[in-house]
Amino acid sequence: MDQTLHYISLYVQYGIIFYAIFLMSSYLILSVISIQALYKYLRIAEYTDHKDLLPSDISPKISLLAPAYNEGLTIVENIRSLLSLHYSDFEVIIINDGSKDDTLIKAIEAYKMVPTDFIVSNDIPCKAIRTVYKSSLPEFSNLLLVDKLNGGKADALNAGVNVSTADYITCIDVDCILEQDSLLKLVKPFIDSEKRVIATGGVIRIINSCEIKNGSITQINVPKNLIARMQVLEYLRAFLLGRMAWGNLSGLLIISGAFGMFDKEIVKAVGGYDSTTVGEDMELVVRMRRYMVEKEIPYCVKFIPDPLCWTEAPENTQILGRQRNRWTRGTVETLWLHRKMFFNPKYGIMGLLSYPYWFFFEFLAPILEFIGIVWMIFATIFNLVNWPYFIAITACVYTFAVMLSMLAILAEEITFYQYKNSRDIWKLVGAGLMEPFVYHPFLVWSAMKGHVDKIKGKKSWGEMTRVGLKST
Amino acid sequence: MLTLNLILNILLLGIVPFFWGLALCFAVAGTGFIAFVLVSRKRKNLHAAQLQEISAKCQPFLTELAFEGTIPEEYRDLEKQLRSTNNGKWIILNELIKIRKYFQGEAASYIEEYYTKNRLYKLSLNKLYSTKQHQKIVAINEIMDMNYLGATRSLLQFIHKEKSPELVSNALIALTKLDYKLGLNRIIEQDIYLSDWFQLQVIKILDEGKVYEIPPLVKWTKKSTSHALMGLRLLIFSGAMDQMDELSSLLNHENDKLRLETIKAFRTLEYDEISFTLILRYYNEPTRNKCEIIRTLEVLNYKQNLAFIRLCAKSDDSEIQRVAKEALRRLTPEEIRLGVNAPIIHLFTPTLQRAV
Repeated sequence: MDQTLHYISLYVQYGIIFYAIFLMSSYLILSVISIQALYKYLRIAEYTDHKDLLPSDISPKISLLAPAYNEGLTIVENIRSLLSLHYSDFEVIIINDGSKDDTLIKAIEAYKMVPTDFIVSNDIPCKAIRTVYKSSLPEFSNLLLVDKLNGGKADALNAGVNVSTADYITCIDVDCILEQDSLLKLVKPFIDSEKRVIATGGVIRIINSCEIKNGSITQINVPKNLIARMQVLEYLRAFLLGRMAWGNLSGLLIISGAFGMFDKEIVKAVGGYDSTTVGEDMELVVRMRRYMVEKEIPYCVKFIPDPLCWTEAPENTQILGRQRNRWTRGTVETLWLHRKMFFNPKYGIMGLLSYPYWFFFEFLAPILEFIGIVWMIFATIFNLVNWPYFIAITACVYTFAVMLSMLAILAEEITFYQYKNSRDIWKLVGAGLMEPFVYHPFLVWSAMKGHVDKIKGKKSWGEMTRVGLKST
Repeated sequence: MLTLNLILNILLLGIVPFFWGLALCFAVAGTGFIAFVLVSRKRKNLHAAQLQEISAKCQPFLTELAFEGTIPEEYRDLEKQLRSTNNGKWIILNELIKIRKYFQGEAASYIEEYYTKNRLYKLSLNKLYSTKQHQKIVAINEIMDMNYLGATRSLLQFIHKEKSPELVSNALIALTKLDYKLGLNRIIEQDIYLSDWFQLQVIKILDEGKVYEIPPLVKWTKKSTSHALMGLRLLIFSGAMDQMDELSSLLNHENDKLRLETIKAFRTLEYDEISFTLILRYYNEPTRNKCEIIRTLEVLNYKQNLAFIRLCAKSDDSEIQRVAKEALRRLTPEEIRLGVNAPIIHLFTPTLQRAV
């Protein structure tokens, strides 16, 4: 019995070694690709004046789709912020997804919205639309408000696609703050690529503790709250060292639901957002990509590293836990729906690299980590732990995690230099040192809960209460 | 089995120092990254301060140069001193480019003359021959900003040799800025995809230079779809109405986008005679193009096309229905009255009834 346990312990240790080496190597490779791509992008961007798009007939029309559910507190300011974006030809479509509060009334009153006999296409199925309102104020003639029955974010976005009159749609979270030139930057790849661009996404940054004036950020700070601060590091790693590389490798599987632009024709062709999944943003991108491959149409998905969209991060473990639980379920659902692509050479990079990466390192990682922790407890009880080995591999993984965080800070520093105060850098370094012990185990736990909820068949998003942004 | 386990056990013992070594490397790298961040921050601040100081010294004499055409006596020593080092030359060049953007006419020509006379173009040309891509982009932009005509030959050579389409596009834009005719002809000859962004840049340059003499559309259409699209847009830009036959032939092109842009071109150029052709073409166009035809018909000859647009407003396709209804909504009651009374011949065509 003892010997069997010993052998099991031995094989587990080898499994961990291979997995850790594989994971660390892939992170390093992605980081190198990202930094190279970032450098090239910035050098070219230095001589790109996106404002050239403003007076031109060549710039396409864009529909901004912003679903709103119980946003009564901030809806008026949020719409104002969207209307003030720099772009020549765009419409803002606010979709009131059956809010129970005064979201609809406030928007109607503030922008003098009146019902119109707007013809809504029924290309994508969605819950019934009650009324489409249009602003009667000439300065806001590009503002539409769709009032519909509650059906969730994906359903609201589908309603928005049906109402949209533009060739390109931008899906955003209504409470996000966008950079004034974000549309100009996001649309450029669509008109600057030989291959058909089906989607573009930008970097999402965390706005907690930043100073805001009239819907714009005036001072960028690292969040005072430790949980939000650790998310800053996490986002820096994910966007600057991860997605940038995947974008460059043509393997991007996700465009953040908070801010992304899509080719409406393809969105319609694939049937719009899947309202049965909680990871609708990732699922749509994967489905669009599959569609293009299966129809043999050359295409690409582009990623813009500029900080274009700022969002509020959860500041307590309860909300963060729910968010990560949902993300895990979303990932599992998407991977399951598109399992056909797993190591399928027909899908190129997406099938051979992106999908397996998501499977092994996003889906499997929390499960393996959780098993590892349980195994450690078991092994300690039965005196099976090889302590020198355990301490060495822990030190190795910890230093690697910290190094990656420092690399993300360096990438931010040499590219966008958003955190001007040196004290902010030290705060981020401190967060990076603590994160593997404090924050990461919590994420693993939340992901495990997500897996359990998925098995139980949970479909809901979970309440996402926000603190709200303080405006000066 | 036992031997394998023994080997694995031994390996496991050997791997411990390996992991410690790796951990040490990661720790050193992590510390190095942060040290680099902090040091580069300090250097950046220091460098920025120094640069600002020198720039402040440069600005008075460069402004004088722009207004007077010469550098005043009291600044000559300083200017000579700056020009004696590469770093100084680089600073002067940057300042020149900055102030060049604010001037036009004679003042701009003084700045450009200084750039040429003092051989600052050599700095730009050196970068053009660099192996680094970003240096080449800097060079192309410097040459373009300083309107350095002497670089046309170098740019042509560069376009001929360079493999990156991105850089070739940039060089073609610069060439067009320096010599419109040469640039446009080179664009026609170049086997390269001309993106919408590229076309926008070229049109902007032509607009700034008030150049409306464009190579004929037929030259563009022969090359590729993107060339045809560019020719079409240049035709709209120039407002030339003498190439309508060539433009009409593009309605038969296999590319949907090109046909869509052709329809738009007729609208922009307000070429009324095309109405009937557009209606005839309507039935075999995709939805997007159908919508564009309706918008165009509304603008071109609403009287004759009113009945057709009304038919479109009854289409099963909600997108077409919406566009047609919007078009009808935009017409004034007087226009609608005139339209209702206008003779409508095309409605009797069975093909059209089927199409709608």
